[in-house]
Amino acid sequence: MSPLPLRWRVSLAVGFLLTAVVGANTIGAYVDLREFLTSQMDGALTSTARQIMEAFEDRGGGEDTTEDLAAIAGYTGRSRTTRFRVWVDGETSDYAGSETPGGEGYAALRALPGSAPPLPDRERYFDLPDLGEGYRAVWLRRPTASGLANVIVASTTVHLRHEIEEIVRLRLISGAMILLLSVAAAAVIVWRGLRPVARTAEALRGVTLRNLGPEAVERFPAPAELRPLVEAVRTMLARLEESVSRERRFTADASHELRTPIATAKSILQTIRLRPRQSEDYCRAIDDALAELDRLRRRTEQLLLLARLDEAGALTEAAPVELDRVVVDVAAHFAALAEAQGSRLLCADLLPVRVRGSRELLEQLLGNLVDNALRHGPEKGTVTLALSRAGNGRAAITVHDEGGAIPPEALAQLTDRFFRLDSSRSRSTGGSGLGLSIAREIALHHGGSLLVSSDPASGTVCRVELPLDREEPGP
Amino acid sequence: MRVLIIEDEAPLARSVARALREESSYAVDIALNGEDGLHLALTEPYDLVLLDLQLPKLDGLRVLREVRARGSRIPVLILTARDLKSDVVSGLDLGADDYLTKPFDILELLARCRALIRRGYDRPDPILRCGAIEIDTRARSVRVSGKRVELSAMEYRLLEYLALREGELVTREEIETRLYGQDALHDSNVVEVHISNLRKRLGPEVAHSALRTVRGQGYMLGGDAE
Repeated sequence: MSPLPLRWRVSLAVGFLLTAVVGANTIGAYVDLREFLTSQMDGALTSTARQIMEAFEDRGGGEDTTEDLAAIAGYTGRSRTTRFRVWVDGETSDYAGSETPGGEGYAALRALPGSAPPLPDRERYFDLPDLGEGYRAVWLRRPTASGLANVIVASTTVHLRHEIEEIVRLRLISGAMILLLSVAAAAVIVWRGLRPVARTAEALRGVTLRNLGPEAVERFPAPAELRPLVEAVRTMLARLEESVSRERRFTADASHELRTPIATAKSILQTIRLRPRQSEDYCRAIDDALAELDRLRRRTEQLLLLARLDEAGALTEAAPVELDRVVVDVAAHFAALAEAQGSRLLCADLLPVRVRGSRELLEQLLGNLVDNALRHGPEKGTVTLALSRAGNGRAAITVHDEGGAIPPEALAQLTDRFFRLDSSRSRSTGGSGLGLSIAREIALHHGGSLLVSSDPASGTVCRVELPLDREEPGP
Repeated sequence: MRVLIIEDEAPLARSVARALREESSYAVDIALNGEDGLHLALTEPYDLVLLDLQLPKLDGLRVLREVRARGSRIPVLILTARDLKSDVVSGLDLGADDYLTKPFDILELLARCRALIRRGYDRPDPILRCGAIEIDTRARSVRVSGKRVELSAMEYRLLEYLALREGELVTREEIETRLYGQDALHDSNVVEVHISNLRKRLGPEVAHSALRTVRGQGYMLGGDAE
């Protein structure tokens, strides 16, 4: 079951809270109001009782004063909302009263609640719930000439109840309206506040590889809490766009590198096949086509190696490798090529150091650097290999050639895949543009780095740093 | 016909050039980078440029833009190995006439070259008719009044060029630069020798009436007799 939507959760919480507050408030108001109205009523009853008591004292126990007293009590005519009874302790019959024996009030005003009557000159208040719609009564006692006189005045509480009910009802209605409005407002605010999420989601739904990019999600006004999310989505899209377009360029470049030798071989073979030729013509064409196939093989291997390096994050099969031996072997391997083009290949300062890694990959790394140096250094120049300790627990291999002046803005791109310096040479003498990026990947793979620096005065230096083997015995 | 190949893959350029020379009897020049290619395209009269897009020194698309910016209407066929539709689209938008993706079929390339050159002369029909002379540019066969005539490569090249410019005065210099390319011998006799051989092959009935010499200026195939 999915949880309730946020706006309903917020609305419910607001609703519960407001209900509690309005409820408590209403109950409190009810209690206060009842107390206030009751004390007001008690005051009115007491004053009526005192007037009756005074009238009784004035008459001094004369007969036939009931009418007068009833008038004081307001017990006249048909609106008999106030009842009373006057009597003197010790006398069997009442002095005056509103009730006739046998009437419903008669018994009620005699069955006096509570045990003790009030002390003289004091009042006692009590409810007569059984009488009619409920009555409030006061009992006044005072010593008079005729003895200890008692006055009870009772008045119906129906008006009081109605008044309280009316006020409570008003309070409940206004409370309910506030509750409803607040719940609705909370729902609307949350819904509006979260709309950027919905719009972002809507925009993201339409994002494909074709329209990647931060423009896919517009920058619309969003609450401060959501802005980081929208911005994060936009930056993510920008990064994705960048990496997809890099991938696309890579694919385009890779297809160029793979198709060109195929195109050349095919064109050579088709052209030679168009008409009968001399056998040496055929041989030359076959050799040319084979050279293209060899180039295709090398490119394929390079691309596969790059793909493998990309896939395997870190080196899994690492063994101790004597780096100085690798340098010597690679130098020996390229000696013939260097000689053929009249360049010199020197090994200087070969410190014996050991690293952990794949000897095959490290040979490839160094081989690519030396190949590059021989290819791009000046003709009949000198390429120098050196191996030293870099200090921070690293070994440093440098490959130096006398070519120089790689433009600074190109240095950063040098290890990009398929990046080629647009040098004066035609591409047939240049490489695939993968050598340096493979070298860099291998260095990274070994936890190391590759740095190229170049200036016209001193030449170009490729510097590879690799972490030393920790188990290496100290020098 | 004279074709310029701007392509940095020398072996590919050489083999395409060979096919164009041998199979289509074109004069072919090769430029291995964009700068040289642009220079040649702007200074020499070519009937077609085969243009690679990834070139050292000057990118193929920039070469194309420059060529068109100088008002040249020369047909351009793009050869590309990059698998980017955007390259092709921008190439065509910059004024290329056609494109082929590497690896291509050499016979298809030859056919597209023929078509582009014909269109460059506003002669889209592969069969050129000029009075009694009928030239099938696909098979490079020539008939005069329905009878097949055998021509050497150089003679055919000359006849096809004159036929494409039927009714126009063609100077000897134009013939030299179009038909011999950069390695023209500039031996003023060569053209005359070829013209005279061509007349012999075409036979007496069309020789002088159809292929006329405009004294001191050049030659003209067809057109109104003066």
